[in-house]
Parts: sequence; C-alpha cells; structure tokens
Amino acid sequence: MTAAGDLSVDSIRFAALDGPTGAEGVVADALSAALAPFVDRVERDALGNVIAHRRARIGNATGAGVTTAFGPDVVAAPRLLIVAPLDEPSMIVARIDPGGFLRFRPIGPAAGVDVRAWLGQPVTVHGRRPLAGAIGTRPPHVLEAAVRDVTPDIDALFVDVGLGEADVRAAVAIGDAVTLRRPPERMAGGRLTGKAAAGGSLLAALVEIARRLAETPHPCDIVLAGAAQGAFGHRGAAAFGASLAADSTDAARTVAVVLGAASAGQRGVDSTIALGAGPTIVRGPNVHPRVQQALVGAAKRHEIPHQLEAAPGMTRTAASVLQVAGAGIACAVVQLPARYGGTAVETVAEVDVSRLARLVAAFAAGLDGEIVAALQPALIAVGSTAADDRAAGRVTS
Amino acid sequence: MSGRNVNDVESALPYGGDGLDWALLAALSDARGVSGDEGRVRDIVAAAVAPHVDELWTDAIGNLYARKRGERVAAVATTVRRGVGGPDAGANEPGSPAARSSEPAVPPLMVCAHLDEVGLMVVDVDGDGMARLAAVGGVLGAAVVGQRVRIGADGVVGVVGLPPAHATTDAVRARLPALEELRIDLGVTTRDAALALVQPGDGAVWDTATVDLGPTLLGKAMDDRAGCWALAMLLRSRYPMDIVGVFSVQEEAGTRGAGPAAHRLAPSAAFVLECGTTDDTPKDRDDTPVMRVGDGPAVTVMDSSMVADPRLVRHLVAAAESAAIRHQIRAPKGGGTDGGKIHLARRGVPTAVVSAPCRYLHGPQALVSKHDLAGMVALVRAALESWSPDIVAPIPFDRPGSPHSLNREVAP
Repeated sequence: MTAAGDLSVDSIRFAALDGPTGAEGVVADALSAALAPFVDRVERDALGNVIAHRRARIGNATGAGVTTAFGPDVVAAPRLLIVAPLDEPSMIVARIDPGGFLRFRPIGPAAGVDVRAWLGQPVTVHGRRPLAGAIGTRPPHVLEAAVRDVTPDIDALFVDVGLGEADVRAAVAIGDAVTLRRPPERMAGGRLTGKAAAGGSLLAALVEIARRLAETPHPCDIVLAGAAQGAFGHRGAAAFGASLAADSTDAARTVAVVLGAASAGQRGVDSTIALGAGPTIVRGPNVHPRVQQALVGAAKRHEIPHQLEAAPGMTRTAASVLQVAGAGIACAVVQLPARYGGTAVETVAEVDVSRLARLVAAFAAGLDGEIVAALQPALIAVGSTAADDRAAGRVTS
Repeated sequence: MSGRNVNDVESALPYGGDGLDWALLAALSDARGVSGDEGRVRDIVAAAVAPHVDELWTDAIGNLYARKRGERVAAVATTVRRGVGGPDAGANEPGSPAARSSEPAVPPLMVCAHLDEVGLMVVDVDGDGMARLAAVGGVLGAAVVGQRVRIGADGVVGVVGLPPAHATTDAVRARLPALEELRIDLGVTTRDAALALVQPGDGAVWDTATVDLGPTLLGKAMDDRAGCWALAMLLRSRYPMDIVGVFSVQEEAGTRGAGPAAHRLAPSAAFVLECGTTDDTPKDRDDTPVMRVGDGPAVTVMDSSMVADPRLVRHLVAAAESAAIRHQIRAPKGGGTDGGKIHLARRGVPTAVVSAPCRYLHGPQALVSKHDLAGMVALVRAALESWSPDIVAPIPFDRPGSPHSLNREVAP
C-alpha cells in the first residue's frame, strides 16, 4: 500500500518542490491550488503564508453550513488551526569567489548546523534562473591524511555550478537561496526519501485533512495554514498566529494542531519513536494537555496507531510561537516520525502520513464547543464552591 | 541527462565539439559498475563502438577489446620492430589477424580506459535490516554520509543517513564518520526483508543522474567513463596503424584488468585515457592544483604508478602544439592509473597517460569540462594520426661508433 493510493495528493508532489526559507512561493502556489477545492477561500498574507478557511458545517456535510454558538463563553464557532511548514532547510549565497565558487551560509541559525549533511550534495542555486550545481569536496588523492576525518568548517564549503566566473556573476547574486537537489524517491518498506520528504508529506497530509473534512460535518471553523519561514524562528506562523489571536475572544475560540517531524530511532539517535508506528502526539509544556488528550481519544476511537512523544521544552514546531501568539493559543503537536531529518536523505514511512491525516481529520470533526470551552480561562472560585468548580473542570490546567 | 543543459549557458568548443556524443557520456556515467561488476557499462560501450570497429572481444577477467585496423597495416608491418612484445605477441587473441592467417603479428597501439568506478559493496546485513558496507576503491566516509545509493542489479534504493543536527553534539558533528560506522538504510526493518532486496557482495553506487551544466558535466562516474567515452569517440576514426581500444576492468580495485590486457596484446606502445583528480578549488593550503578544469587535457610526466615514456610525452605535446590544442602538464601528485601495470607488461611497453581534469573525483558529483574532453579526443586523435613506429624505436645504444655503445670494443 502506498500513500499515493491513500492521499488525495501524493507527497512526492510537494517533496519535489523547492521552498527555501523566505522564498516559498512555488510551494505556496502548489498548496493553495491543492487546498482550493476543499475550502471556502484561500489567502496569502504578506509573509507568504497560505491560509485556507473552511467554515463550520453541521449536519449534512454537502448542504449549506450552519454556524452556531457553542458554550457559554464562546459566541462564535470554535476554530481549529492546522499548521504545516512550507519551507525546507536551505542556504544563502554569501560571497562569489574568484573562479565562480559560491560561498554560502545556512538560512536561520548557523549554530548547530551539521556540515556533514552538505558534503558532496547536489544543489540548486535560485539565481536569475535556477542553476544546478554541487557542494564540492576534495578527493582522497589530495586530501591530507590528518584532515580526512575532520568535518570542514562551514566557511570552507562552496557551491560549484560548473560555469566560468563571468557566467556565474551574470546569473547569481549574493543573497540568492540554495536548496538541496534531491527529489523524492520511494524505497522498500513503504518509505519515502528525499530532501523534503517530511515537509512534503506534511503538506500532502494537510490537503488530505481538508479533503476529509469536506466530506464530513465539523462543528468548528477550520483554518489550514502553510507557514512560511519555519526554519527561521517560525516567523510566518508568528505573524498569522498573532493576527488570529489578537482579540482575546478570537484567541479563546481557537485551538491549534501543529504538524511537525519527529526524530525516530536511528543510528546515533536513541529514541523509541519508530517509523511506521503512526504519528506522534506530543506531551509537554508546549502543548495544551486537554487538546493532547482529545487527540489521543480520537486516535483510540478511530483505532489509529499513534505514539506518545515527550517534549520537555519547546517543540521545534510552530507551536513554539503560536502558544504565545497574541492572547495565546492552546496548541497540540502531531508529528510525522522521520529519520535523517533535515538532510538530503530524510526518510518517512508513507503509512504514517495517511494515519496522521486521518487522526487530525477525526479530531477536527469531533472538536466542538464543549471541548473548546473547557480550555478557556475561568474565574477560579474561592471558598466553598472552589472544589465544585474544579470537579467541573472549569480550571485550566 | 535531459539532453538540455540545465544551467542554460552554451559551451565554446573549439576542437570540433560537433558530433561528440554527450548523451553517451551521461549514459556511461549513470550506469552502475563498481570494480568487478562492469557488465552494464561494458554492454553500453560495446553497443556504442560495435558499428565502428573491425573486431570486438572480451577476455576472462572482463576486459573489452575493440580492434580498429590501420590504413597501412602492411606498410607498418614491414617497418615495425619485433621484440617489444615477444614472438607470440597478439597471436593468441581470438579473431586476431595472426590467428586467422600466417601473417606475422603486428603489434598494435593500445589505447586504454577503465570501465569500473569506485563505490561501495554490501558486506552484510544487520538484524535490524541495515546493510553494512565497504569501499570498492578509494572512497571516504565523507563522500557517503548523507547520500542516496543504488544497489545491485536492480538498483535498489538505499540511503546512508545521519542524525538530524539537533539530535547530535558539536563533538559528533566535528568528526567525519569512517565507512565502518555507516549503514545503508534499505527501508526495511528485518534481516530477512533486507536480504530479499540485497545480498552481500552487491555493488552500490551513488544515485546520481548526470546533469549538463553547459560548459561542464556533473556526474558520479566520470572517472573513468570520460576516458571510455573519449576512446569510443576515437574508435570512430581510422588511423594509419592498428589500434586496439581496451576497456579495462578493476582499475579502482588495484589496476587488475589492464595488466593481462597488455600481456595479451603486447602492444608497441600504449596510451591510457584517464579522468584525473584536480585540486583547483578554494583551499587554505598553497598547494599544486595538479590540473585545472578548463585548461585542456593533461599529459602525465609522472604519477604515483609510473614515469611516462618521455618519447610519448614529447609526441603528445608536439601533436597538441601542432594542432593548437590547449593542454596542460599534470603535476606529479595524486593517484596512479592502469599505465602502472601496462608499462611493466611483457618486456615493458612505452606508455603515456592523457587525463581529463576532474573536480570532486571519487565523490557523488564529479565535474568535468566539455572543452577538456573535446580537447582530449582531439589531442589523442592528433597523436595517433601522426604516429610513427620510429617514436618508440629502441634507444640506439649500439650505434656504431657511439661512445655509449655497449658493443664497442674495449681497447686493450
């Protein structure tokens, strides 16, 4: 069974695109087009985020949607925000050296980058026109024995596009983005590998969630977002999160499920998370426990394999900014297990992609005013009624 | 290769670049053939040269031979000096003229390029389905980590992973892994499932499709498919004397194939067409670039495996100069070639090496220049067209009256 058969859009369609951080337009276009049939409207904001809206539908899914008020504290329908990143790990041209060699830096923080993942990799330089090239490495014939096992400094690396310096200067400018040129490929065991295997799969899952919600009643408004600049502090999500939660009433009716990639067990990573065992549902301070519990409940009700993932600090997802955007948004994080994340050989299990989509769609269809209301701030009663209120679950965790 | 140059820059080819079959080079570079597993590459070469040569045969180790008869075989036969290859030189080859007639064997010129490429071999499969690997030829862990590979006859996809950066420490990232530390992830999680996909002994190569960058080409196995390609281009022409093109096996596993080939052919001289390393990219050390990509084909004076025959070096340089072909002398640094075995065959074979300069050799993305490759074909063609057996005539120690003569009478 391949995910291509399970999903309305093949993960490969998104994983094959280039979405360098800050220039995600091509990916945003593809996502907008794929979401359009399933939503009421799709917008693009100033930062390049894709934001698709689908109003709540009650009863007959194909009939006109009916919007109602839910719960004493919420006047509008609850709103579920589902977010996936648009961008991929990418680099920026910092200098053009004599001979036309391009020196580069990572986009986003340079600290903690693994240069080993770039050695000898094919790349695309997004210049005046896209240029194919590679990150060169010196061969063993000339490499001094003492440095053969020493990772070169990032400043020693360069991209070679195989052109003379004049042709390079005519086609490339400082500040042009560079992405890995490693389109997706299917492997044995139902795996998908490629430079954006996880990110592309999450966008395919986002579209699949929209398709499923278009076929079922859902009492909450749905916002599906492709977030720009995920690799650079989640700036895209920060912007639309602040806008969605600017008003405390709006914030109060909003719940976010953020999609990300989890590090599965692999050589050098001691983790019990496994590829092919279902999406992870994250627990920890970055997620709201009630939303997380509701997700686990949905997984159990629909018998969707899933794994719990502990995140003792901030997750590496947009939830890190959405949780504190505007008046604050109750977030959950659902992740696709991945090996070799952020490298040209990033690998996911396609069965996990469809499970992730089913899980989030099932959760979305079951999200109603009661759950959302239970998340909301409430006055903590003092005196003899406090215990009753706590028992009624009116105190936030 | 799409047939389109992806970087959209045209290459200036001053050496009759029209008619050079770049798609053939891309197909050769993309074919999988580590040392000992050259069959797929040999088939492509055989199909490409068959219409242009007079005889085509293989031997027990897998070398492919392509004979192109000379225009003046008889004339050459009268002037060529015996003794270079021995009395049975060339006589044992199937289909050779000597085998079919009583004509004396005419030692041909041997032009050699190797079919094989460096890569990996699956050596075992772990209980979790991950394949252990070893290098075939000179491959460093740095060239393998983070790469996608194709394994065995079916081209099974595998990846050599590394942890996400956030899951590692500075100390881990600062060190390049040795091959023994790496595994190929096949997508499956049990030994049995893995063994259904690959077997110990299967060759693996980088999953790289050649791209045409305009003036240059980027592919995994330019070493030495560029040499094979140049030899295939050369075999389209006829020369004054017999040429046997040898597409040798196992160069990267210790120059294994070329020695037996030179023994069988007993050539009067040999030219090796290689794809050689450059060190012409930005670096801290003030060090020789060995060769430079774009400066033309390179003539070797000495490498780690041989000192080239100075008569052939002079002939090559003179041929380049008279045909105005831009060329360079390869600095004596880097590896060796099949020439190291050929020049020691029989009683010794005058041997020279012409190299296409290549960046990032023995890595997943090797870069060569069309200008250099076109120049390589032009240079060797010029050298063959102006060939004379006198070039490798024995050094006249015994010329009467020569003070160097070994036969001069010693004064009493």
